Amino acid sequence: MASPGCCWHSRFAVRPSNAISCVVLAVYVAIHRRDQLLRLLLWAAPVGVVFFSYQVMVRHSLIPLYLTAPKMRNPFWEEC
Amino acid sequence: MNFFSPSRGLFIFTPVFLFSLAGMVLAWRRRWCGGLSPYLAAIVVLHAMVVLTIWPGHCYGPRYFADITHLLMFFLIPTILWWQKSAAAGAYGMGGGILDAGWLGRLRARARRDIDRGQPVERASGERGYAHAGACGSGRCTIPARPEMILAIDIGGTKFSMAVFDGDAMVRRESRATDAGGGRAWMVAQIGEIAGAWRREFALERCGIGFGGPVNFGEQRVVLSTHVGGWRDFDLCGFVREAAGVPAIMDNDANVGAMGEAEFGAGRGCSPLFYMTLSTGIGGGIWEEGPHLARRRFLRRRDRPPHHPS
Repeated sequence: MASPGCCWHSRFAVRPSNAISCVVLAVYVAIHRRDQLLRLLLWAAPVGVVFFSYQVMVRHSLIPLYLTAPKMRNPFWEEC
Repeated sequence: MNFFSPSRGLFIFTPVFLFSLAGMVLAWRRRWCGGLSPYLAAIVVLHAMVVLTIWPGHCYGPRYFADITHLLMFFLIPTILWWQKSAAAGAYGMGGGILDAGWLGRLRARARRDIDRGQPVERASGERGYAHAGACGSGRCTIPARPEMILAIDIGGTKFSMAVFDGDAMVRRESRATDAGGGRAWMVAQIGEIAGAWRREFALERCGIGFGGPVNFGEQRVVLSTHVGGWRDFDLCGFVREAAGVPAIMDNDANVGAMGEAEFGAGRGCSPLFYMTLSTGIGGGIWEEGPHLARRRFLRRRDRPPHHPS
């Protein structure tokens, strides 16, 4: 995780593509292990609370701004 | 671009992950890890589709696939298992494994289905086919690779268990202690009560029975029970067919235990597999998967001792 306040690529904690794994595995549990769904959500809740709290307080955004990064140029040389 | 780019292509930097593609197909076809592997494969595919839309940056290497490297490595396992098995058989090798994951695999799967739909085979060597036609249903009673809703019954000397499976997931289970004094009449009444209730609740398609005693597989009749009286030459499949409204097939519990462990349990991927049950009685089964999979549904049983109360 990059330190906040430096470059554009420091505005995220994880890539948003990691949400795919969370969603797909939750769908699997909901379909095939429905009796375990509540347990999954309860275990995921603390992680989610910490993640979203960090995002809002430090990054000032509920979700990572990875996709809004400037393209076709080198932001490292321009912004850092 | 993300796959074959000279500067950041996944398969350029780590070509071994090409085998992961074959592994995903193998895992999907064989329901490796139960119903989970299709979802894991979906994660890989969706991730690859998403990263195509993200600017890959100026650096070298397939860094966007770092998030799913563990899954790509995971799907190498079925390919390696297939390779090992084929190498042991001396028939295929890795190239054969990849071909099997493709269109040749579909052809072979079709051939396997045709075999499954065929007549039962009980060879002199003791091999038995589970594609059984005869006394267990309306003309033909086949057990396909993965029925949708299955009623499973395990009848033992000290307890009996019944369960309903939706694909690979067990959605209902009930176990009750056997009333040895009640004999067969008590047991079939219990089975009929539970099966009747579940029949109204679930859309059952088939039933598999493991019986803790000698079974006449060809006739699909119980030979006898050494623990509970009254079972001699009983048409248990016929009773279950009436009670649950589904075709049923039965074999000795050690045989079906070996088959279950080979297909779904700790023995998955192992062939031959020796399974031993230490329950009210002692029994064992040997599962053997042929090198060309044409006989993978046949079960070989050797030296099965009669049940003795432990």
